[in-house]
Amino acid sequence: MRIMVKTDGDLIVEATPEIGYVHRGCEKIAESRNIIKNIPMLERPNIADSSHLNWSYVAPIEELQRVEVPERGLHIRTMLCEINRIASHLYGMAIMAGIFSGHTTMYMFGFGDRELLLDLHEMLTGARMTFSFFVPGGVRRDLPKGFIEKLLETLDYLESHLPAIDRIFVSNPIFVERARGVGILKNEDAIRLGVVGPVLRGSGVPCDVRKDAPYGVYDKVDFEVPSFKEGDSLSRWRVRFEEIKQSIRILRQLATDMPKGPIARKSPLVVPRGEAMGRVESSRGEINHYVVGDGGDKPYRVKMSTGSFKNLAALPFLLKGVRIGDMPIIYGSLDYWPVEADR
Amino acid sequence: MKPASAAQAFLEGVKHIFKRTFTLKHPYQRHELPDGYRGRHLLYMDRCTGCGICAWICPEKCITMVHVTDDSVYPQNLDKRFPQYWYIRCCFCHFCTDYCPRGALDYTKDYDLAEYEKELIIWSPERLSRTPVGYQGYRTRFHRWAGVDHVPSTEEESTAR
Repeated sequence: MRIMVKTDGDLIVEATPEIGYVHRGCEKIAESRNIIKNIPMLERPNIADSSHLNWSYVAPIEELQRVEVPERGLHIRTMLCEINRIASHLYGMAIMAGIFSGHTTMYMFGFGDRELLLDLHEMLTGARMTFSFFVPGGVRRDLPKGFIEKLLETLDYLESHLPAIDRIFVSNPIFVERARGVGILKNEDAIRLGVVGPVLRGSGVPCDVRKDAPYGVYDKVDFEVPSFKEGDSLSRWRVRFEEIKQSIRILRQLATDMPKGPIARKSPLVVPRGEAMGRVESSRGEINHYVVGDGGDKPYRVKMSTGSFKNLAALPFLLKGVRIGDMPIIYGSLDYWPVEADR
Repeated sequence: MKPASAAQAFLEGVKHIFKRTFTLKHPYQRHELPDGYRGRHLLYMDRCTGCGICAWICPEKCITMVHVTDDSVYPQNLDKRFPQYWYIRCCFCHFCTDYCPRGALDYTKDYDLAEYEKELIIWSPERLSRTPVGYQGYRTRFHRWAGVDHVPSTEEESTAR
């Protein structure tokens, strides 16, 4: 993506984001492949956050096939998604906040801690980033031996390291002064522009699909939706930082009561006639896949709608009237992922 | 949330001087991979029937069924049709391994697949059936105050924990 900026001296008069440079036509390709072959492709748009894209694609197919995922399968899915959410937020804090504000220590901290979560991904799914782990009917593998112990050990370490990240970055006066009051998105503007995810919650709207329309086992776990009233770049990063803590809380609950039973049910390799939509809260906002089936093994139509694209609507609004030096901070605070927006 | 002082942030940085090094010197020290890591494929030629389900399910069309021209006889596969992988295309989803009805494909921990010549990235069935060479892995070790470091996975853990 590039941003075309008209300036008056140092002030931005108009900013136009130009998207589409990494457009791949996922939706069109999905019409020519069967539902299993679509899985690796449709999770590629966001490799740091692929499990959510995967779930959002698989959920409508299960709805059309009338296949119920077993309880253990849902637990494993939720577990992987929450590990992935922490990893994705750390990645965002490392690059979009750390590097864009010139804070290289946060970059090192974020990537160092994320590596431990990638180890968990590797242990559970066999891949570091793009898992292709959810298939219609359930998940591909059961929890490996010793996974819960390693998960708890990692969470203990992460929890002990979060205060350090807080001191050195999130409440470090150097970063706070840089980001506070920059790129203010008021409550009503956020709702009007239709932003989602941490950007919306940073403007004081506690809206989260996990609470509003629970999927997986989110209705059985106890967690809060952090939101901040200020609506500036700092509050958006604080939302993500608090979400890491909430994800750790969810993971601890999931680790203690993991039900026994099958991990997957058999599902046919067809998409029955009908239409269904998946709603999943990814780390960049709500993700939807709208699947239309015509009874064949290929979906008739797949429409994706991703959090990054919705959040991009706020960028021209936020950039108007700010100084050009604030641009990286504002752009970074949206945690924008170009490929996810361009599909 | 009360903002910390700049001194606190600075002290946090200083503290990290005394913590252990997380980094691995990659080509010389390798991260230990768990069982079931989705690296390159391992082909058991004595189990493969040449049905071609792997080539059918491959999302990236990286598998071609080829005839092998060696002298050995495969009683379950008289046609000697085996999968050949073109690793430029492979996305390591391992649906081929999951879908194989005879269990003829398996996961390996081999992930260094870069080659100097373009043709060498095409793995023939004979090459796929070779057992990968193992290496000394390093696993992460958590410490109460000194952070995380890596230790050789076979070595006994020190009592410092």
